[in-house]
Amino acid sequence: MNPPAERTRTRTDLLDPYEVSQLGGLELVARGIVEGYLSGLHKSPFKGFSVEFAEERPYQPGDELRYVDWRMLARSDRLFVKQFEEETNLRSILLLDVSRSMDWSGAERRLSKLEYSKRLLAALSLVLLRQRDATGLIAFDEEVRTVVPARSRGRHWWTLLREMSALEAGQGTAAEPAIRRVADLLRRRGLVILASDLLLDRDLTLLALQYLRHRGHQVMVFHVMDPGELDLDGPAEARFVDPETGTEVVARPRDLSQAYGATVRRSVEAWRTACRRIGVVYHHVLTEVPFGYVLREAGRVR
Amino acid sequence: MGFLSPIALVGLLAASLPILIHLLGRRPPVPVPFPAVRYLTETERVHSRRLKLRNLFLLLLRTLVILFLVLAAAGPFVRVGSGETHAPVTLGLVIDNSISSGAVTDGRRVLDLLKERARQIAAALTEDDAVWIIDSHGVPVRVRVADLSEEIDSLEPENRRMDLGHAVRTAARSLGGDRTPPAVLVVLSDLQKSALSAGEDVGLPVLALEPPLLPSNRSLAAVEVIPEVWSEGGGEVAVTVGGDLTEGTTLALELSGRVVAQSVVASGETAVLTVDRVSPGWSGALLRLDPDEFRADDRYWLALRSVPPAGIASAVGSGPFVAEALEVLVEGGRLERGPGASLGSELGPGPRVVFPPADANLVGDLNRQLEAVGVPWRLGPRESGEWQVPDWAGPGSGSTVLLRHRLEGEGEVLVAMGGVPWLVRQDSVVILGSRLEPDWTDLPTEASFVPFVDFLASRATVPDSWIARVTPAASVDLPRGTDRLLGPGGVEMDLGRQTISAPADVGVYFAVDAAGDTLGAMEVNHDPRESQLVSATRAELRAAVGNQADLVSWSELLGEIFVGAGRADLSTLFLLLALGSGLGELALASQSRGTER
Repeated sequence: MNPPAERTRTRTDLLDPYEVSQLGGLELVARGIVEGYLSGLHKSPFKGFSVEFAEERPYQPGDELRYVDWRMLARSDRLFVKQFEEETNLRSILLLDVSRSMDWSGAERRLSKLEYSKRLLAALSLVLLRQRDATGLIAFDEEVRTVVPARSRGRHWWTLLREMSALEAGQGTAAEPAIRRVADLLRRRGLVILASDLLLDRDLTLLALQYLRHRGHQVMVFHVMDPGELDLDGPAEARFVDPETGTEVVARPRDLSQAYGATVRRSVEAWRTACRRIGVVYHHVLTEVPFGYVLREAGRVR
Repeated sequence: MGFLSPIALVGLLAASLPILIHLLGRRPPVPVPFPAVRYLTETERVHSRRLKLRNLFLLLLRTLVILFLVLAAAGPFVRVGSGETHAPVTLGLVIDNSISSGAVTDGRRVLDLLKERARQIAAALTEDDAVWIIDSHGVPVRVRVADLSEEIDSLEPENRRMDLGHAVRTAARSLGGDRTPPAVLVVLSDLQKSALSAGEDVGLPVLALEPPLLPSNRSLAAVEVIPEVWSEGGGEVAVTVGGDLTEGTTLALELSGRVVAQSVVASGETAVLTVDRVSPGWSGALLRLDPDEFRADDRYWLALRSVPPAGIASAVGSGPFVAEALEVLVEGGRLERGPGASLGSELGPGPRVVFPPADANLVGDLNRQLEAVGVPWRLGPRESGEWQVPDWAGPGSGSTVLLRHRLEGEGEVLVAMGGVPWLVRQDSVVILGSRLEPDWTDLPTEASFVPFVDFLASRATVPDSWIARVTPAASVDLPRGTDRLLGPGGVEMDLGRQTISAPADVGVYFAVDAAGDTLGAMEVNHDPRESQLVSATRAELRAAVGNQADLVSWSELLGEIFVGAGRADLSTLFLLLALGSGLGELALASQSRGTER
């Protein structure tokens, strides 16, 4: 482990994710990422989230007139004042896809999608908790595997880390049950962050995400992909096997590489467009990209 | 379409290589875990048909490249023209009119068959073609197409042998090179194996017509006159008959048109004909067999020389053994007492046979006599030893000599022993290095002693007869002093030189000096190699003149003569097709790989 002086000089968030993962466990890595990330910012990220209107109460003499709900007055001739959530009292739920397809890496010295997502979400959760945003976790494959309710206490992070560290790849993928479970955990508007390779039913997933948007939640999707999934590589002729479904396709990579790449790019664009249409923030993340870049990009978009 | 090198078509098997490589190279696909199979499935669904077609097309193009290359290597061609005309050709027509072409097969002379084919070839030629004729003289002669038939008709069997290999090579040298139009040699011959001398590859197509089936034959293969010079009492002629006819036939010897001896003989046998009496002098005789399908070799001309008995003038000083032998010879009619040769240890007028004197002190006197008469020989020191008389032209071979004088000098040596002359001759003087007595040699005790004395007395002092046994056109050195030749039927041939080519007609020719004396005779007969009526095989033909030679049937010959001229080469077309296929394959394969990058 580097001495404190060197630690401040080393931007862990900008290192190769695989090398970063070799520095230590999830906690150490996440701290390193966050410290590096925050050291490069002028102001705290993920702050200035919209101050959300929470509820109303009858006007009482002395309430500030700027909080009077004038629309309600116009409609009902009754005076009400709005109550708001405090800025730091954001509730966030991290959705982690732990299906079998996430447990894949296209190269020996590259993190699997699952391990990358864990570290990304671990770092994100630390950022949120430092802002005193209550943060929870739902891990899913074809059904919900783990639920950690959102809390804002400092010690809650270790709970999240413990749960994330214990997570292993499951079976198939079905995001809708998990997404709908979010609705149970977030009664008030909050932030939902989904980390998945999106190898699932797109229509059902978008429908579920749209449901969250209708409920007033902010939704952010990290579409995690391994660079090996962008291009088709392999022996002259190979039998490609889907680890989740067992589907097999015999193909010659050289013959199909170009067309396959186009198919992938089309799919990514389709997700981006569909998410934008329903107001979901979409990030396409490759597992070779340093965590800092992903966090910065996510923070900027927010 | 035809192929110049059809054997190259075996390479078509290589056209199956791309398919074999494709099939054999297929291995069970390696399983690869890949989560994004859904993208792959979608891709394949959209592109699989296009890819299959592309791969099939690539396989086809690769196969076509090999196919076209193999076809180009096989030398493809198509015949051009209507078939009745042809592109100009340079033709060398070798017509074998050697003596063997006179053999009869199927009731016709071989040469007549060959001439018929030659006329058919001539009829197919046009004025644009160039033609040379080469016959048994071996010299290519350019002939106008219009005159070709007449030239062919004039051919008759010559009495000479034709070296077919040499004729073809000579023709090729005259017709070969960068000649336009291309040259081809056609050989019309009985294709005798014995006529095909080996040599370098002529480098031109040589088309030999398959020869007719040659008949079995019988010939006069070898003749020997015994002795070479007869006396009036006659002599013998030993005749060996060659060939493959096993049944016996009559062999006759004619002198002056009259049969003087005959026998029955079969091929492979030797018969000896005895003539009891013959007039003195030179005469021409004819040996003949009953005629067969090849008559030219059933006759043989030979020169016979008969001389009267030699005279013995004196034998004083020759010793008792010589005297005794002379008595035997006189009684036998081989010798006569009278003017003639003298035998002894002194010189005198007339032919002389000189023996060393018994008294060694008289040797010096003898040497002075020899010097006085201009004989370049001297008797040297007497030496004792043991020597054997070698094989030589006369009798006495194998006899032992114990004592001799070394004969010193220069001149004609008849017998030498150990490199030292023992029997020498200078004009009509013959010198023997030993006395014919038991102390000197065991000859007097040998059976060959009397013939030896006969030789000394009757022939030694007489110059050898000149008899040349040659074939027509052979080079002959005539004896010095020859003024003219007297041929068969008394035909006289004036000569301007001493070396001549033997006459074309067979027979006996006598060399006569200006005084009319006969100096010798020349026997002109057929070449015995022409009697071997066995045709060569294709392999033997090619070994003689090169690998472009071929044995063809008549039905193939005309087509082969003109096919090279009326032929369009398709090799370039197939090479271009191969190139196009290769470029197409490269473009299609690169297009896929390039866009993938």
